[in-house]
Amino acid sequence: MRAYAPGEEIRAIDWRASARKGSLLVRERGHVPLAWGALLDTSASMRAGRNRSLQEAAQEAVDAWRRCAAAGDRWIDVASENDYGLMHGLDRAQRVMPAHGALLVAGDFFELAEIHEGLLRVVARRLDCTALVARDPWRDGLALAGFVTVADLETRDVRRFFIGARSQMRFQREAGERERAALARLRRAGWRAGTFTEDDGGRALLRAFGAA
Amino acid sequence: MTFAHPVLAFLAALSLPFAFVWRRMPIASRGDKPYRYSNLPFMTAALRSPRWPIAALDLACALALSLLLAACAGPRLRTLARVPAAVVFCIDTSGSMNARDVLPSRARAAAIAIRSFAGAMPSGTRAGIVAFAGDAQPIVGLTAERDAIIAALARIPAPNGQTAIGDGLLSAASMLPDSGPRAIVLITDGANNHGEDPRDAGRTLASSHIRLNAIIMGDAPFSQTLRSYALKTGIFFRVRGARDLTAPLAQIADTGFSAATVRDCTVPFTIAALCVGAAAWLAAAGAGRP
Repeated sequence: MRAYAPGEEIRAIDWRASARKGSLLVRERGHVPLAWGALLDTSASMRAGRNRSLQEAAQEAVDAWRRCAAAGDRWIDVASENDYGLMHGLDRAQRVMPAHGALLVAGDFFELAEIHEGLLRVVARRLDCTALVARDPWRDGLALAGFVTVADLETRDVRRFFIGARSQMRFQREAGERERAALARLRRAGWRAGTFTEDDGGRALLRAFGAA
Repeated sequence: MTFAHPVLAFLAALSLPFAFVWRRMPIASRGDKPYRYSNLPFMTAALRSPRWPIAALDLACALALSLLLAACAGPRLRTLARVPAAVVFCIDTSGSMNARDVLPSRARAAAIAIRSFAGAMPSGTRAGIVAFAGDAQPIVGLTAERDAIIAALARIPAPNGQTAIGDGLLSAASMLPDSGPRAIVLITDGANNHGEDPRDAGRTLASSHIRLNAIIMGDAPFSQTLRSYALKTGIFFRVRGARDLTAPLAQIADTGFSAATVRDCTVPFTIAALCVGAAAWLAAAGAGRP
């Protein structure tokens, strides 16, 4: 506590302490150490990408997130999503991170539909949650046509498709719809949510905070 | 359809289902380099692409391979073309032809069948009739006029006497021209018991390249030599009813006076294989990134 100096913000005055002392006192607020953590989707599905993998972009976002931490802040090592899956990753983050810690989750969120919205809400109540949803590399135009063979990066299942113009349009629509649904679900649960593409990881983080 | 190399033809027949199944096998096992995507179930649901083009492409690939193998097997197409022929009915008029095990009687059934044959005789075909019992007797010479043949049936003697099959065959052979498709239709009910040895007559027919069609009524023994020759060059039938007699004559009318032509189909098969293969290749080659 220290004496109030003219010119200081009125709201900085600690009225109760001032009443006891009989003069205006101001409570000095130092830097409150914050806990930071990130849950990065390192599953094989994040190796998708036209020019580079979504995983690289997600890693950029996590690096930018890490740089946000000020001196004295703590970095909590939350396991990658690959080790536990998104649901278990969230559960673990909830346990290892102190209340009001800042959590970033970057991934493709294909599992989101399987996660109960209640869990998302619980995590959002305890932590400051930010989600970066990977944008489908082919969301803005499926660059495949005719007879194509496609492999699943995670399961390694392979399937052949005949892709015509209608299928291309359907895919574009469905990919956009999936992204919108994921963002809406996260926001409903109290998360800060944005998207990132394979080209920008760091800037996507700023966009999620509405700074860019 | 015949093949110069039947083993390759067999492989061609097998290759169609094999190639189709192979195309439908899990693609990873075939070494194709696929595009990669994060979540195949989502992509499948999002694309909702039709399955039939894949099946059609697989079938086209399998068909192209099969046709190519079939072309290598040397396909030959055998077609029968009707040619003007000469045929002599050699009818047994021995006493046993009176028997009624074939209705109305063996002799009458034979006459009815010949009438039926004459009615449906291909144009250009000439027919004649020789009757034999103890000796052979020409009833009508070769003629293309159906009415003349039908009228001649009335002149066939009533059944009586012995069975001189050899004489009848030689008499019929002498009625035939020296060249062109020629055949004798022997209608008899028994073993030779008079005149020339049927084996000698058979040898004469063979040296003259005359086809023999033997229609035997009842269960009486018949010359093994003539039976073998008939089986080799025409047909051999044992009949026990009038309807049975009509069937072999209809068969003789259908196939007995036709000449087979064999056409090499290697080129059409090869062209078909290349066309189907090229279509499949073009369809598949345009795929991938546009």
